[in-house]
Amino acid sequence: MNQSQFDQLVERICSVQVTDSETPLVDLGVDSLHTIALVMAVEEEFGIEVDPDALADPALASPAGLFRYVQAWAADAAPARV
Amino acid sequence: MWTDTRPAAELPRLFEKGADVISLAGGLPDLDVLPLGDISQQLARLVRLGGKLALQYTTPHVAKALVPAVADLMAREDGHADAGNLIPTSGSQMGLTAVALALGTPGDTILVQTPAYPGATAAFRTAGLDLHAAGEDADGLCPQQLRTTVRELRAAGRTVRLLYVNPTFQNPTGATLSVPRRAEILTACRELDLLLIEDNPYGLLGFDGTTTTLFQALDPQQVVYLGTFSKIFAPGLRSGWIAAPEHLRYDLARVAEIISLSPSALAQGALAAYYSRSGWTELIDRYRDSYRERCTLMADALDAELGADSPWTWQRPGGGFYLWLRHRDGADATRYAQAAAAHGVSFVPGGHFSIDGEHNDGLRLCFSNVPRKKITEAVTRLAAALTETPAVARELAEVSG
Repeated sequence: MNQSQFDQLVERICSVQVTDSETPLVDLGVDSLHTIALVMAVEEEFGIEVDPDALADPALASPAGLFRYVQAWAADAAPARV
Repeated sequence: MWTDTRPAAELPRLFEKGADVISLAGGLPDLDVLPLGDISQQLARLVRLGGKLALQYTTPHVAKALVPAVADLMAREDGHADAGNLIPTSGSQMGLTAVALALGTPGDTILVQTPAYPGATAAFRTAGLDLHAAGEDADGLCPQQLRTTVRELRAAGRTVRLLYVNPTFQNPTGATLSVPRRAEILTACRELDLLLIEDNPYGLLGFDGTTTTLFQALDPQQVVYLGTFSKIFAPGLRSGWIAAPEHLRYDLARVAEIISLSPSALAQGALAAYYSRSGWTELIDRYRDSYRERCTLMADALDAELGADSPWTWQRPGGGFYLWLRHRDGADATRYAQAAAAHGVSFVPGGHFSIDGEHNDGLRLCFSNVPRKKITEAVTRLAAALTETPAVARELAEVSG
């Protein structure tokens, strides 16, 4: 999945239009409960478990930031799967 | 407390079950269709990721995350919902109370489509409203009789501003008002300056998927719509909504906040997450299939057990939870209730749905939650009670104590 496809996931789950991947979710009109629903969907989609404390990190609070987190998790987890 | 003086405001004890009694009384959904494994995983994720939010007080709004889920449900019946016209409730029972408190004044008369859901009439009475039946003809609630009734009541000095209807797969009759009839009723409401309260818990439960355009879709400014997740998801989350005209939104939201302070963020989060992942279509289809099957089993058993010569008549509904039987000669169904209990089956006598002692010749059977393998046996027991003469029924009831 690339950033554009990830943005489409955000749009589908959050019923918003992602005009810029770096725009904070809150500025896209995604409130806190919706952000949780999005992260729940991301966990299921990618088979990952997001650290709840990490959700407080502003760096994650955009489609691009969340996608970077997913990619970093996948990179960290990859050796373990080999 | 002044409501203690109004015993009719008590709800019948519909959800209690005796050990050997098959209950056809309480209107419970069939939760066997719920994907509990998926819901369990989602709830676990919700609490782990957002527990401090979901378990906290929240603002008195339908959460933004839940608005698309509500809009989807209402659009299936051509209705309209957005964040600006929604007020959260803990289910339509709270919605009914909020509507009565916010839009009525004690002593006002509310017109009610009857037979009526007892929870609605109880809510209206508890808010101090007087009830008056809205007249019916062969096509259901009658706009011309509505005009006559309202003018007569107003001429007698009554204040009449509200009309309550349960228009689709009505509790208890299963009847649905046609769209042309709805339009005629709304024309009368506009003429008479009546607000229509549309209570619609069963509208999406048509057995063949048929839906009927909402009153709210036909005239959003004349209608206060009550929606609920109880019948298309689960009642245990106690979550629903009011879709209101803009000019009433503040009054309704204020009363809703007084009643509940805020909705359950946990319930709203769980519903939003479920909808985001799965949508509603599959689950609603599963409910429809379950109720179609159960209704067919029950109606076929009634045909077989009571037959065409029976004094009890009924029509097969197109959806919802209920079969409504009426006695051709007007016999009081209450007289058969104890006999039915003695035979090991329960139902709700029609008088529970009255506002002034009418409808005693009816009885409501709920098929939605009876185990499939018990439906035929339940109807056999019921038929044994209903085909006894009232005298025998009374004796049997006395013997059974």
